Amino acid sequence: LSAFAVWAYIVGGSVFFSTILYDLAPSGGWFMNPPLTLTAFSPGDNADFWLLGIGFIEISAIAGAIEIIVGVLRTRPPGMTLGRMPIFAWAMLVFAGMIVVAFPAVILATMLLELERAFDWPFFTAALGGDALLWQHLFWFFGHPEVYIIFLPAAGLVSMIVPAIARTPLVGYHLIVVALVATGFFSFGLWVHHMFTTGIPALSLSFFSAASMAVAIPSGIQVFAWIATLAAGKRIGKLSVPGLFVFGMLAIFVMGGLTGVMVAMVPFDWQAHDSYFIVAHLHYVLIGGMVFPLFATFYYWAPMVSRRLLSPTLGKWCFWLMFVGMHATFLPMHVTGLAGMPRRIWTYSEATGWGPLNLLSTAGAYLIAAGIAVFLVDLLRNFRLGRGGPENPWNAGTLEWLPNDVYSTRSIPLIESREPLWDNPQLADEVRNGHHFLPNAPTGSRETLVTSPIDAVPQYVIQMPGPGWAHVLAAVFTAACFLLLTVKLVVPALTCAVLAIASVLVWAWELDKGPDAGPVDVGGGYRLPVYLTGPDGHGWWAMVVLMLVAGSLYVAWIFSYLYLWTVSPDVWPGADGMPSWSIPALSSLLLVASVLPSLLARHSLAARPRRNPLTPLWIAVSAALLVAGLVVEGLGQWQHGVHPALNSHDAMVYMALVLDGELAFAVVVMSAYVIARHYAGRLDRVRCASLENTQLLLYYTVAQSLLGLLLVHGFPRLV
Amino acid sequence: MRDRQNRSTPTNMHADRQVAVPARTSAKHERSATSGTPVLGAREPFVPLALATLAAPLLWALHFAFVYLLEGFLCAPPDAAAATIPAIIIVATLIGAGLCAWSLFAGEAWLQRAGVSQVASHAFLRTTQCTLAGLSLVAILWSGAGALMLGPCVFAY
Repeated sequence: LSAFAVWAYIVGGSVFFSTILYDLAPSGGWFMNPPLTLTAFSPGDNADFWLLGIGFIEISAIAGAIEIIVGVLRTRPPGMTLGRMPIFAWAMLVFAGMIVVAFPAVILATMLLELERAFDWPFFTAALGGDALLWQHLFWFFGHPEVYIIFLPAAGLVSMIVPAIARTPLVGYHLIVVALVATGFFSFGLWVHHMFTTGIPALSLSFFSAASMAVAIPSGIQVFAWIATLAAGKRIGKLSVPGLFVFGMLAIFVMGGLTGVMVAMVPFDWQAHDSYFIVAHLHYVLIGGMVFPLFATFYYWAPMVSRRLLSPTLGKWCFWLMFVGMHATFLPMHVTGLAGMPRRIWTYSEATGWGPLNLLSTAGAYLIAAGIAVFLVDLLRNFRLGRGGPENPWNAGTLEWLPNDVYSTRSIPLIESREPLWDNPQLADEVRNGHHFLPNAPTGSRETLVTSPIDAVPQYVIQMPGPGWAHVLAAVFTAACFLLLTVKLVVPALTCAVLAIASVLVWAWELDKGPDAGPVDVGGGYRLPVYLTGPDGHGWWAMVVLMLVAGSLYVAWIFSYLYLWTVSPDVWPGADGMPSWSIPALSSLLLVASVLPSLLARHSLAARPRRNPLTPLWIAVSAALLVAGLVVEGLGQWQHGVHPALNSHDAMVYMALVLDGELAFAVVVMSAYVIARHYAGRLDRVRCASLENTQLLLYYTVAQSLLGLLLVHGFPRLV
Repeated sequence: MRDRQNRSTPTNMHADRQVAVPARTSAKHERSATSGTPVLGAREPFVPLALATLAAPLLWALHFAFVYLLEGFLCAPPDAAAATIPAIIIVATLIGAGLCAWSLFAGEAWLQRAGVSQVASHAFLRTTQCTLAGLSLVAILWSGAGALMLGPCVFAY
């Protein structure tokens, strides 16, 4: 799944960014506010590249997030309790959780805007009951957590590097964990600080102003913990290149954080909004909070994949050029911003007096470029993929420095502390000699241990997929589908969609290997199964996270529905204008009825080698009832005169059906897949993960659809 | 913090060493209800424990959503009910902050009810719960403080 996410990102991202080469780059700003991005003002395909390209890239991010959450919680080495997890793992867990909640909002926004551009569904057109501000709410609900999604992994990396350069355990480990979790939560309460000047009531603004200040506390906790660790460390002596970048990061990020608290004050933000002061702030936090940790990471972890270390001399040149250049570029922007220079202008009068400072910024930018050029030279001269380099050049204490090869580590260590390599200097040799878990690949294939989520007790062995092309093709065809839709080549796009689905099914076919290879001896006196279904299985967990994504998307739709009602209550029908209750009643009946055949399908599963002929029948009936329930609702609304292009209420009603319909389509495809597995003899009472996952999605779809019916048919009658 | 454990000789770790897992989950195979295969550590109540540990930030989120939606709904269009917004927010803030503060004392009982005795990470979860409660308490009070100073439905820009 991670590989799929990477390939989807590479293909989709490359095509998206290549638009700059042939004048199709999106021209609505990175945030794409309507009405500028509606067809009337952006008639070309440029905006569609953003909407479909970014929307697709986010699907790739969500796939990666699901993998990270399940991986961090369920595949840790035995003994690595939550309290012994590396901070980077905590950071990635919070990061992935934030993606699950934040990204669906912008996915909904891109769907709404694309539907308006393509089919005139008026979500953002005021004359028909829409509101351009809805876009801003949805976008920034994603957009602010996004900057913490960028920062948290970098913070996690810094938390790994600092103890190594200080040669002492991280001070305040527990506080940092809490800070990461708190940042993850509080970052969702800040989004309106990007909209302080849009006319929202002052009391509402105060909530977001308060939260924007409060979020500085957990960020500050991390910074002070890093400083305390460095202070508590053994004599650091001459700073290594990663250490330089960490110190640079501390200075720059703290400066950016201070201006962040300044702009959290609403009256100050009213002066600074859309000026270069904001540009200065965002670059200080992003360059300090992400770019400098990234370069520290390159220099720190390069020995893991390169036979040779990168050059300390060139590294120092890189650092100082970037550090000086960064301040030369962005420090003056605080002044030019306060002097009145707005963002996104292509020229200005000499009389403004901004010229000299902007010239300094330009010179600084060239210094940054020179620093990056030095880094590229360093890479070309010294980075050499392959083995034979120093094993643990920084004498770090964490597990990524264990000896490894293409199969990862020779055995999976038992963990007893947060810095296992410091506490057991023989651990590397023990692992290399196979003295821990899974030294001999008992199933004969790639495998790893699945452990319990809190205490990391070994539970079962998961047989991993081997090399293949199916996931790459799935990524390529998915990207192609979205990008062909962008240029309105519908038939080729649909063809690619079919090929993408086929690739996914081929990929999934070999994932469920069944229990035949086990139980196996994994060492330490454990004999574990190689297959598990139910709430303890990793597939179940992945489906639950997927349902959280779908739930977040639906909550964004509910917010949008209610928000548009507050803006344009006049386009909402009253009780007299609603369709008859018989439509949602029949639709609900069909939806609920779809659950029973699914349960019967599960009970009808026979023990191998028998196959119950009723199983595929129940699966098919269940999927058919689900689809029928949605068709009844759609046809009923249409016959009542509810048409999506008429006004924002009608568009929202059909948007609910779109969201339900997408899930129903997935259930239909998964049901067909399960039926195929039945006839292939790969579905039985024990080997039933595919049916279980399909059932989970079915139950969720039914629940979501019922909630939608309640809102669409109940709310207008109440208000 | 470093945990000190006895170590066996590397050459014999595989054969003679017991993996250091909590006794309540060690080596006891339980049958999975769905697949019938033996499962170790299958009874970690992850979801209840996660909810109990994260109770305070979840309270913060609920409080935040409530006050924001309240202002949004009652100000569109503003009517007589809008005058009650600050009072409702103050009450909601006191309730939210009170629950956060209460979790500092009652949180241990919540964890016990969630099944924390079945895991070894009891202290870690409790400390996390308390620290998050402190941060969330500050955040709730800070969010609600605006109601003491600002009137409802005032479009100041």
